[in-house]
Amino acid sequence: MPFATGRVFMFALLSLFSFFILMSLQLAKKTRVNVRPIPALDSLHECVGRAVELGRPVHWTTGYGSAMHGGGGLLSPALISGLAIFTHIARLCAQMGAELYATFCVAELMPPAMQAVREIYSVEGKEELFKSQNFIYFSPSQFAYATGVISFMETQQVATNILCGQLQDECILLAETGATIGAVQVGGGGQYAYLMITCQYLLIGEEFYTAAAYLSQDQAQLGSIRGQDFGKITVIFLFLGLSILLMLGIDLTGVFKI
Amino acid sequence: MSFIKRDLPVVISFILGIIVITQYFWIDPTLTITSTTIQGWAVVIWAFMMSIGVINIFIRETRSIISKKAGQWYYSIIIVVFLSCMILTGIIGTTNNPIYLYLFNNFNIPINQAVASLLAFFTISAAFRAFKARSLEVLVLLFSACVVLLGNVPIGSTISWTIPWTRDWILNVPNLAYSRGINAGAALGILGLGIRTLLGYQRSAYGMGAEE
Amino acid sequence: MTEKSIFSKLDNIDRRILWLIFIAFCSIPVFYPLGLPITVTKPTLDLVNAIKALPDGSKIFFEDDYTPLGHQEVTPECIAIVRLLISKKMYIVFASFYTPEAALWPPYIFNVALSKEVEAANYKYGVNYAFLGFIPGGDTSVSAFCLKIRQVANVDYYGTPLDQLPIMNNFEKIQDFNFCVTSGSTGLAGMLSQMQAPYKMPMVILCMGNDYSNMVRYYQAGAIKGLTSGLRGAAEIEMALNTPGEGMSSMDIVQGGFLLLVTFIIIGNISYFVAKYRSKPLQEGNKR
Repeated sequence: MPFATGRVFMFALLSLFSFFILMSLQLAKKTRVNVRPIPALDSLHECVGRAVELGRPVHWTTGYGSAMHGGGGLLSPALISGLAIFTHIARLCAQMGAELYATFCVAELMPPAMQAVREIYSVEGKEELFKSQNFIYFSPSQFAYATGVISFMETQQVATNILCGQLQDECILLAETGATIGAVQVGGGGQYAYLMITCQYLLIGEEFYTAAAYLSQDQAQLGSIRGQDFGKITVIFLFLGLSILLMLGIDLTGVFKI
Repeated sequence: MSFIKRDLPVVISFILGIIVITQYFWIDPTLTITSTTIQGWAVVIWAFMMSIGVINIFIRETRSIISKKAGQWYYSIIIVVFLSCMILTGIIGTTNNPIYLYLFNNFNIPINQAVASLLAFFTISAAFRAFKARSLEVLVLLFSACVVLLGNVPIGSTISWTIPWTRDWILNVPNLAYSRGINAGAALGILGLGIRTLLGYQRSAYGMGAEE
Repeated sequence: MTEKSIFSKLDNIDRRILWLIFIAFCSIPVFYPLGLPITVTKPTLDLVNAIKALPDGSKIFFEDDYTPLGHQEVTPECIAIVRLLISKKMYIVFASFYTPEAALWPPYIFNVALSKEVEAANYKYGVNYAFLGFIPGGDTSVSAFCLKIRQVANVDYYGTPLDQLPIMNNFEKIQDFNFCVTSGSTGLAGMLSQMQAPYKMPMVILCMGNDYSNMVRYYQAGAIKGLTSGLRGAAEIEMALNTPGEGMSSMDIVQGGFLLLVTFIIIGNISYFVAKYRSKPLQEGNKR
């Protein structure tokens, strides 16, 4: 049989979870889905407003996630999610008149980011506010990028710092600098330990990956979040069921190796 | 035109994504060759995308030199000179070029290490500023951090045998529980993100911001 | 106008003063080493025993993926393990998939750090060990490498075609190796998902200190046979193998830094609470 050995159970789980998500996506077009509030995402409006009041810019950065450096590049879920949060912030900046800067370690993210923001500014009728020189690529090297961003943040005195992307060890440098200059910070997708002690708002785990769906408030996308919850319930029952069976002396962990 | 700009990227991503996912589970020589070819294309595209970043750096720094941007233009000259040098020596003799290796080993690596050492200093100042027991949760965090720090070094076991024991318990019980739970949820979040992206519900990765 | 007390000044101290104290404190062990004993933890012991249990002459795939940041922590671990591999006459192939700079570390380990051991064991490049260098593509290239090595790597780090290296005649795909040592930070999750999970490759991990908490669940689940992290991990390996090196000698400095960090946290809290108490308005009878 040409099916890969050792991956049958994995395929079964993947199919089941995908079914839950797709089914919920379709059902949500007919029924209303309520998702609990996520404070970090709800605060983005307030954060951009603060930047407008202070007359200082909003800053977003990708983190060290290049495809060439282990982050998966544009294929990285953290970067896709970070990009989705960035486009939402760009919309808020266009509506409220805040200056927006984006710094990159990931070169392949620049074209879609610039294109998306250009479209948003055009739709909002603020084409004149779009500046391509506000999209700054520093280096694919982790710490060259980090020092560039630190220097940029201190020069520009950013009011709002959005650290949502594929952040790794450099996030302590970026977040601590933001905290020192008094920026309000929203963090996600990186080293939670560092982000927690430096950011006012934090997106943990699933909150970060469902950010785009939550921010769009599109019922179909919110439905997919409900599908993920069905998946989580399945996982919980699997954990509990197998643990209880194991305690009773019935070892079914061989199922995972099918 | 609207289909080419709006829907074609999603269709291409969907087809290629399904091929790569199917190859992971279904062993078929044709599928394997197709999948590895697609993944090889991705590597080549990424390599070309790097040049976009390099061009961006050149344009920005050259503008800074020409306009003699205060406090910046002399650094821009250094960036442009070194960038050009690395690119030229890398192309001429590949990465085995002695000049390339000299610059890499004697400039890039020591500077990277020096900047990386900033992590320790920033962690010190972050810990001093942020680890204040303002609430019960922060107090627990504070206690855990101190125990794990001391448990990681020999002096911890010299002070008391309970310190490395508590460190192991913190890492193997609550930390592991959090790690597994958060990662299980994140994995489902990633699956949902993947499905939404491949089906075109979420289009920011395709450079379509106004569709959200 | 209230005069600022020493505690409120301490609460708002310039961070550069903290940094200066940190440098001074960490320099002391360089001149006056303490040499306190190190306990070898179970994950590290399992790692060492897993490699010791391999028959002499086994085929090892050594993946190293760390930046110059990781060089300080992970290279001492790699040096200690490679010393063990050389003593057991293992065939070793190195490659990196996630970090271009990581291609430099294997030549450094063999030609500089362990040059005497390599000479004493009569280890020859291309016969006993080989460096494939950096193979770009991350998870994609790991997946392709596992299926067919020559699909993603045709030449070694020095540009020599793989067919001209006798050692590479033994390897077509990942299943031709007996064991995998994964080191670094950036590629750990990718190596686990693309190499260990699908092919059930016996694997151990040498990682950086802050990756330990993420990797320990794989060790607990039995996916990897052993795990060690950071300079402490290097010191533990050296202790377990009785081969003192950079890990053990660096522990005093690491120790000094950690102790100072804990002291700063305590002082920071004391100054915060005293400053907070003193900032409360006085009530009747001059009490707060």
